[in-house]
Amino acid sequence: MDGRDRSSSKTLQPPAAAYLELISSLASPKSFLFRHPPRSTPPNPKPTPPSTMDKQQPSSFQQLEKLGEGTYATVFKGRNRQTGELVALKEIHLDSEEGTPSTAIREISLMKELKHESIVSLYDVIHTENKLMLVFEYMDKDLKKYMDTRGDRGQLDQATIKSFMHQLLKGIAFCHENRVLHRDLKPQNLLINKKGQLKLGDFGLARAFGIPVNTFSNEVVTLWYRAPDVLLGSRTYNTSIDIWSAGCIMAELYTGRPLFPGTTNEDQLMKIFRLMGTPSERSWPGISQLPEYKPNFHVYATQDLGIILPQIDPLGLDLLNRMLQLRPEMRVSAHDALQHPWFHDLPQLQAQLQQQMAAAYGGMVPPQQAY
Amino acid sequence: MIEDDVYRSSSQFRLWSFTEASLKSLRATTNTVASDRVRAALRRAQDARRSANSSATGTPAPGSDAESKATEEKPIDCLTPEEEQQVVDYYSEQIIQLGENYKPPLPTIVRATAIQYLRRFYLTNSPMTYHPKQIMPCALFLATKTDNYYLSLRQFTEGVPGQPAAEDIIAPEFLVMQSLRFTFDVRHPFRGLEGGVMELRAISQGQGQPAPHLLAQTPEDLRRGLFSLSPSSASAAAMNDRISRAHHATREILKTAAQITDAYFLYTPSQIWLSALLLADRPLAEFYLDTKLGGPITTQQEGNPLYALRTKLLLTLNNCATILQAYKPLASDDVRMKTLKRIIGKKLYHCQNPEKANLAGQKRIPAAAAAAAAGESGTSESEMERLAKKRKLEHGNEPKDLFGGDLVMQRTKEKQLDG
Repeated sequence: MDGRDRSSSKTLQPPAAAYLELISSLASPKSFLFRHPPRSTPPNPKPTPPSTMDKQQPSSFQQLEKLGEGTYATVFKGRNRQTGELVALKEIHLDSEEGTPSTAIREISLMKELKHESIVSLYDVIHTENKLMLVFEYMDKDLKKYMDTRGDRGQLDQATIKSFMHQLLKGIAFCHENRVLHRDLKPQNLLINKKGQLKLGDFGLARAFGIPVNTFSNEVVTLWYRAPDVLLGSRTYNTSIDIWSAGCIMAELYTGRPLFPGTTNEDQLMKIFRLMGTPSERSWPGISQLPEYKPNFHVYATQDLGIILPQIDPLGLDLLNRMLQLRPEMRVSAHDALQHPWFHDLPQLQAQLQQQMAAAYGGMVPPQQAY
Repeated sequence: MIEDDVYRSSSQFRLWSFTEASLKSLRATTNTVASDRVRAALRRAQDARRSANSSATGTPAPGSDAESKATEEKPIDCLTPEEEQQVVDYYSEQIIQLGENYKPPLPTIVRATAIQYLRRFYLTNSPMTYHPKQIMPCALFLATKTDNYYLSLRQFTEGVPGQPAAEDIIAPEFLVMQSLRFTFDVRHPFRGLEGGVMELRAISQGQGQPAPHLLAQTPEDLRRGLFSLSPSSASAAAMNDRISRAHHATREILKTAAQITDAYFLYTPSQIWLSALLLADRPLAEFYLDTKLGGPITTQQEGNPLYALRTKLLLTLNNCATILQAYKPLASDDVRMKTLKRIIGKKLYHCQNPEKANLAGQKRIPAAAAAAAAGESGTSESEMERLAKKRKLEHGNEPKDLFGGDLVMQRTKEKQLDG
């Protein structure tokens, strides 16, 4: 699972929301057949597929360097020949015994529904002879690389951490409102652009959830960010698994290192228990019924997270503790986390942050639209 | 975000919701454009045949020329939008049947999604251009992917009558995806129904929750209200039965009538299930609505904003219920089936666009073809030539007859009924 690609990538995007909106409506114009009265259609209207007739042949994009490779796709940086806009081109191989891979179809399906400023945009889908190409909004780096290059030994400053966490939780809250679990949140799947925006990417593993949640496979989230209930074999997990991942990511933003870098399922659980304390039927009713539960788990006492995160302030620590609850039903929801007092001073911090962004990119910030 | 906002942001609302008038005019446009193309394509095919004949025989005999003139002048009888609609309805029903061919049968939701794919596809494509017997299995296979019901293509193909090649099933996949505008998420009314039934059961057990704006209602008020419905049933067991019967009847309507009519294009999922519940058990459905709207509200309360809301809502639900109620399964209607056999077997056969018949040959080239059509230099000559060769090679694979003209599915079904 770790070998999977990080969906899109990098950015350099001047455009404000309005510009993005314009581009995406160019990319998949909803207008043509449905908004205009049919009489106004051109002399030879093709009522068939909207996107063939409008444009966006693969040749409309210049393919630049490779950004990453995954099990079902390769991601390239690309440039729109008409507008000069950078994009991420996710090439899906149609080898195919099965036609278009269902992971790709699922990702396209979700991205078409989830339009939000904290979720990477899918502009278009293009078909070439033997592959499918998803055209995504270009993002500059993933969070992992961002921390490696930008942070002090991977650690980020308070203002950036707060801003990233706020955007991350906004993206998660939006997914959850739309009944979608991401299920694979990790720094490699969070994309950062030069405006300091963070967006959720790679929805290959996400899926819509409905009432019956108990048929989910339990092999989903990358180990380090995997919630204890999933590790214990629960198949009825819900939105709270994404919150656990968000908590792990928050701690990592402070330290620059993964909070629970387990090597196996068992080791992952032990790393979690060593810090958060070993749960019992008393602290977590029903735990002993979970498939991977063992009555002889080594019993650890709960540690104070503040000890390993000396930089964190008390409010931040409080929020983190609410996200890293072992018992899924005790974990804060994304919606409630966004209301947490830790975020109250975010607007003041934003101003400070903008100066830092400018410094980090050595003054090349404002006139980015150059091409 | 409230639930309505979530729905309004969905692709189903943004791209696939219509008024009756806009739906009709879209279908009329599709039909006109397809008819023009079919006529042009048939004329080209005729011209090609004629020039082949004349070059073979040298100078064409004057008699044969006159003959071909005559055929040319005979207008090609294309399907009307209403006939196209019947054909699509028929193949929508076939999806329900096809789902039964698997062990275990395909889930209702997968079939429902596939039917909506088929219906969405034929809003902008005509059966004259792409025969539904080719599109239908592809739509169903696509739905197994989007609804997370994993079946390998091989397993899937085994369930399709007529032993089609696996290749032919997925040949139109991209075409279908593109016509669906890459929106695969279909919002169904089934989940809403389950929620409503759970609420009714809770009310019957005295555990009902009042609506957020009607906090004065107690669980006991709600329970008493439910039990006073006519025909009044005193016992809890009888009420339980009544809810179960309504649940079942509503689900049946949602699985059939809601799928094979325009309900999804015209109404929201909640409107659809509430309308179906109205048909299944009107007093129960109205009681349920009143628990949300603070009713029963009578005309005396005209100033009450909830009165206006209730009136408007009931009007919408009744309109939707009318559509659902009007549905009669085609397969059980001999007269309509006879007409349909004529439409599919004869008329559609003669007005099928010959240039679109071999989907397997075309499937790999939509981008190249589109580029060529747009006069772009995007695809090089050599690439076009290579593709043409490839198409020629693939042409050898005659597309198998899935279950088209002779209504194989119908026979299968009749056999099942006999058995």
